[in-house]
Amino acid sequence: MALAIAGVTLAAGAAGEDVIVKAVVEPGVVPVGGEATLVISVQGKFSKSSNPELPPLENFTVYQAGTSQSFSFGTGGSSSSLQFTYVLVPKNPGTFTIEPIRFQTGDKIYTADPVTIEVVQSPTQVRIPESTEKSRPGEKADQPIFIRGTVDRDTVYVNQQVTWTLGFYTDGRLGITRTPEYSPPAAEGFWAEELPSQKSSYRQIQGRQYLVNEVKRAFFASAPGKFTIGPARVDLMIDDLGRRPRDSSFDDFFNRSFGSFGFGKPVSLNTKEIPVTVLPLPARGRPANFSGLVGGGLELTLQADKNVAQVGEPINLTLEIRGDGNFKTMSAPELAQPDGFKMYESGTTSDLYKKDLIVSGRKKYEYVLIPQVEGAKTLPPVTVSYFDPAEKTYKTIQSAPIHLDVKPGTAEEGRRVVIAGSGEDIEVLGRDINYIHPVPAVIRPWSGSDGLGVLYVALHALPLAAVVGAIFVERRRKRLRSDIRFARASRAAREAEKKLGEARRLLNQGQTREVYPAVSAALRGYIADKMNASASGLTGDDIERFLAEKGAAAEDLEKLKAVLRTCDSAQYSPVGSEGPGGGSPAETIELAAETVRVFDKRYLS
Amino acid sequence: MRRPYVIAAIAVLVSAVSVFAAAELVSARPAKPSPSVAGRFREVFAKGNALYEQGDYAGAVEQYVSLVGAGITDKDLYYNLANAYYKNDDFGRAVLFYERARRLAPRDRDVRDNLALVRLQLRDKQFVRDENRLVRAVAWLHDNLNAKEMTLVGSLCYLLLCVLGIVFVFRDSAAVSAAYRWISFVSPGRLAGLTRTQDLLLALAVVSFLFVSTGVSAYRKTAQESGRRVAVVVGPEAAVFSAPVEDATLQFKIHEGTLVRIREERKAWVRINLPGGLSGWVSASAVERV
Repeated sequence: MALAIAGVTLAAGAAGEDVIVKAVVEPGVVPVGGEATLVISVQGKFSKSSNPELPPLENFTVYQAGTSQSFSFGTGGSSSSLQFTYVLVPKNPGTFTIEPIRFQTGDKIYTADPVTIEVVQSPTQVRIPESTEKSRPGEKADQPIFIRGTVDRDTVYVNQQVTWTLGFYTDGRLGITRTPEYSPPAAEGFWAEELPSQKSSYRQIQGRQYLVNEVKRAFFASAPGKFTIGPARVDLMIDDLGRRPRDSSFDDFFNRSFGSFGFGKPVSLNTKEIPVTVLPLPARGRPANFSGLVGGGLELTLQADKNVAQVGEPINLTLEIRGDGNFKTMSAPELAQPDGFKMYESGTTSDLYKKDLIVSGRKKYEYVLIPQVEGAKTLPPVTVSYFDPAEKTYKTIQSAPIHLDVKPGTAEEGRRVVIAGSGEDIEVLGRDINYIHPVPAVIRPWSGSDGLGVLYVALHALPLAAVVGAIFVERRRKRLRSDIRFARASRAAREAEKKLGEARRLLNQGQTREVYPAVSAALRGYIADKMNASASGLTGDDIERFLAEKGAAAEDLEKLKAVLRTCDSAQYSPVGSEGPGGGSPAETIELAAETVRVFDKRYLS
Repeated sequence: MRRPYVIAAIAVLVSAVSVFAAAELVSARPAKPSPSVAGRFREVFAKGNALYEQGDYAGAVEQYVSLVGAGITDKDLYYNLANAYYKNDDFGRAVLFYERARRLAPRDRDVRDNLALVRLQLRDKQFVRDENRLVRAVAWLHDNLNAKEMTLVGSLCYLLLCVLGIVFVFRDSAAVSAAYRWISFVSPGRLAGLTRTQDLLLALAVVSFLFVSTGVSAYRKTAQESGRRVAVVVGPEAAVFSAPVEDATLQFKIHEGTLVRIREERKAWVRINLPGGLSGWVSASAVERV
């Protein structure tokens, strides 16, 4: 483009001079009524009060747009850099040369090289500000500061964009001491979207040059009818101490902070209400699947994340619509569940763009498809209809079909039937659940776990008790084998009972004399087993001492001794006589048995 | 030498008696419904089937649900009701009643097939076990036996363990030695060159593992039935929050048919667990216990 450095000059003085003056104008080509910026930069050591001297510029209207200064300190001392900015608005077409700009500091004069600028005739850009805006009555363009609310169109269709603009005009005659505060307009019946902030520009209104800052909003009517975009308000503080010089800081007018302690006169400026007529969308030619979308240049795509999947394997499907229009209010397009698939909606996302002051966007509808049967499948194209307000017609867009190859799933593979020979595989055309069961012949209500009771658990203790018993028995058995004292003591009562049984048998056979030795042997054997001693060498004193150590009561000890005495006496007395105790053989046997039981239970267990 | 043999025989006899007694208890069923109730059941069941056959799935659901509400617990009833829910596109409740039917009749092929088919169509990915062969064998038992059958298997393993324990105690006796000579021909341990004691210890270890596995399985199944900790998402979508309050952080969402385990219950909220460590609170009405 025509943005170029139009002129660079060195100082006019001899080499070694310490002041450099440069002049730059951009753009190099500008239409009549347009704007070019002339920047004069001075570097070196010079007086702070110095100002450049512009040559006569009859073909331009010139405004000073500000100055900026910077200092640097080096080994050669301090130096400064000063920039003077001017705005040039061409009046006539042609190629013009700006004569050398002079800069005087002290006694010396420095000049920049001449600068050339080309001014073209451009009908579309001549006086653009006023030609594209609809002025509202009652706004005084000769005021030093005023605001103006405008719309790009006052008759729209439902959901068609209306661009509303707030212009803040100032010609620099009044200074502003605090950041203006902007209150957006109320607009009932509209959905609003803030548009990006605009660059400042200069416009000529009734022969006066204004710096214009603009704020824009897009409105979308939700229903037909007559609506109003309400007044917007700007609160600001005007410097009432007098006229202030034009300041380049106006360029970022709405974003700049002057500080909260401004001085001056508070002023509130209001725009007028703007009526907007909202037309209903035409009924004629409206497609059946029209869902209310209004826009332009829409495109539709349908994509699957995979084209080959197994039965039961999810396929992610994305339907995307993009173009100009208000996508936030768009309802989801109808997407029928394809045959052989189960389909679920999995989410919606939308992005909004505001390029070139047009609200556009992209909306994504995401679905999950789960194949039910194997085979080659085609998802039919999806169609979406919208109304194009520019052409005042309905349009229908369509996606491309999607071809999917569904393979048998893991569970499906076992069902594949292959027939031997040259035939084809049997194709599974559809799957469904197995059919319902008939009425049961017998009602078999389930009892749950109520049948498991205490008895059931208790019965499980029996096998465990058997194991414990087995362990005990086996240990005892091993001890009986290895410990003779334990074995004899354990068997003593049983052996005594066995011998007494022999005595009873002798008694029954009438061999009464033989009874007493048998009883004596039973008793002595019992004591000997308990003592782990030989019965033959056992004396009465040994027995008495042993039993006394075991804590036998004197009474029980006496009974034992009596039985033994009876047996001894009977063995050596004449035939037919009884023992000294007068006990018969039967009584002696029973007395001996009783004595063994008593000792075994009380003292020798 | 006779005594250990007799004791072992008595132990086996006692164990067998206890198992038979347990089996009898396990198979105990509640009193048969009266003829009038049974007749009413068959009548409504048949009406539900007829509506199903006519394609009136909502009507069939209504009939079957009335029987469930009357306290009838029958696997065919649950199965048919699940089918009717499936045809009504209510996958959540279809899974719920297939699961209930499967709990009663884990080896019913229709129930298993239909449940597998419905799971293919669920939105949430379903948890799949990845286990080694040994665990798979136990898991197969777990999947194919209901709680009572598993309890019986657990009891049999217990009895076998006790009998083996008794045999091990008397392993030095002549009777056990004689029996081992014949029986051990089928013992892998004997074939691998193990001694009698080592072989019996190996057998004890294997049977102990079976007993513990089947016992744990039986316990879990019984606990599930009595505690009903497993639940199914019955609504289209259930939001899982970080706490049982409305303004808690939304953690994730689960969808109909997904199985969850209930850990805790508070008023209108239940705390759920999902495989993979996910956990949170959902509205109690969003899930239904199996």
